[in-house]
Amino acid sequence: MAKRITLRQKTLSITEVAEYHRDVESSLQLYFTRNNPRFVARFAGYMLSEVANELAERLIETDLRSALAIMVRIEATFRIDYLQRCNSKGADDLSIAFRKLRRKYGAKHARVPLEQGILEAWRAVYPGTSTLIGELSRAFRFRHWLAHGRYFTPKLARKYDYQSVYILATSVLENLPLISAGIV
Amino acid sequence: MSKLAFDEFVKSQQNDEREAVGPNSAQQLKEWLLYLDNLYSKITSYVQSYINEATAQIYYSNIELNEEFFGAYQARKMTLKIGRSSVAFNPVGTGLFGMRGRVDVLGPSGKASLFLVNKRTTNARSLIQVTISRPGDPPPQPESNKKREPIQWVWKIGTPPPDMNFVELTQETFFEMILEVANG
Repeated sequence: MAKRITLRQKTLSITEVAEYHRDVESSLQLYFTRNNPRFVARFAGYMLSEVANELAERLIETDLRSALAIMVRIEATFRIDYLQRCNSKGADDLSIAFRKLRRKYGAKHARVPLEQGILEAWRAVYPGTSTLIGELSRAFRFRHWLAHGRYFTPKLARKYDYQSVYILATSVLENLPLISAGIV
Repeated sequence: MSKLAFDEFVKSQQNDEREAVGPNSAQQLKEWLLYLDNLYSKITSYVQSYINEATAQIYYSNIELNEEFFGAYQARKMTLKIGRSSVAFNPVGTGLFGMRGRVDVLGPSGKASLFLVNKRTTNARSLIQVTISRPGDPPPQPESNKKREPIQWVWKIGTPPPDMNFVELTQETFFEMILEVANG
């Protein structure tokens, strides 16, 4: 018997990640100007071009962190949907496919692979989602690169950053009948 | 069993690669660079009167982009200089999900983006439409039976996430965008 996981009732939605990102970006823009009361102390000895370069670096880093936050949120959404369908014992094809996966991988839900397990089941049950799921699988290579410390050069089919990942996430959440119990 | 699994893996990677590269990459790259030129011409026409008065200048430089589809290539970056303020139009690439290209607009007070999208697209939610049908359901009406209009790709200004609305690029909306990124 698989042990049930207790789901957190409050996690950041992708909208909240976007709002957080917007506020951090605006704060950085302000911090790197003379409107920052500590500008002189912080940037003493800097040339203006160096200030601009450092701001650009911070914005790139913020962009990557927000992209990762979106990707892990999407992963969580699929895993919550998987758990809900396993636990609800629904008679729909996807719930049946997920219960087969649970039998295969046992009680440790984290062992169920997202891409070769959960996403493949989505593709098989809803063939119309194949292109979108394929896009998502490719984007997870970018997520793995971010999550594993970016120590290697990723081989990516597309250009990924915060905005492109947000658009992909919106398309996934908008189009797939994911069960999220109102916590995503 | 492992040989079978490996065969499947090799096959799936070939499919991914074919999906990613596509047969017409040289033509796609040519079109993307042409769309970029068209964008720059349009912007130049918006600020032509200021250029004539010598209160604004436009400069071009080449930057290297690297996309899996095409490898490394040179694309034109445009800089709009208005007095002390500079606004850079940085092409991001064409291999983006749900669109044909993106240019990031970077000014001293912020960032905006221009998206090359289907003329009918008004927000990120309408970029991709997926038909959910399960095995055994009647197949959706083939695209060839529907009256298909060719997609008209146009440049639009994208508001940042979470709203992500795509606004028609006109002289008025362009000026608003420049004021936002250059003047705060």
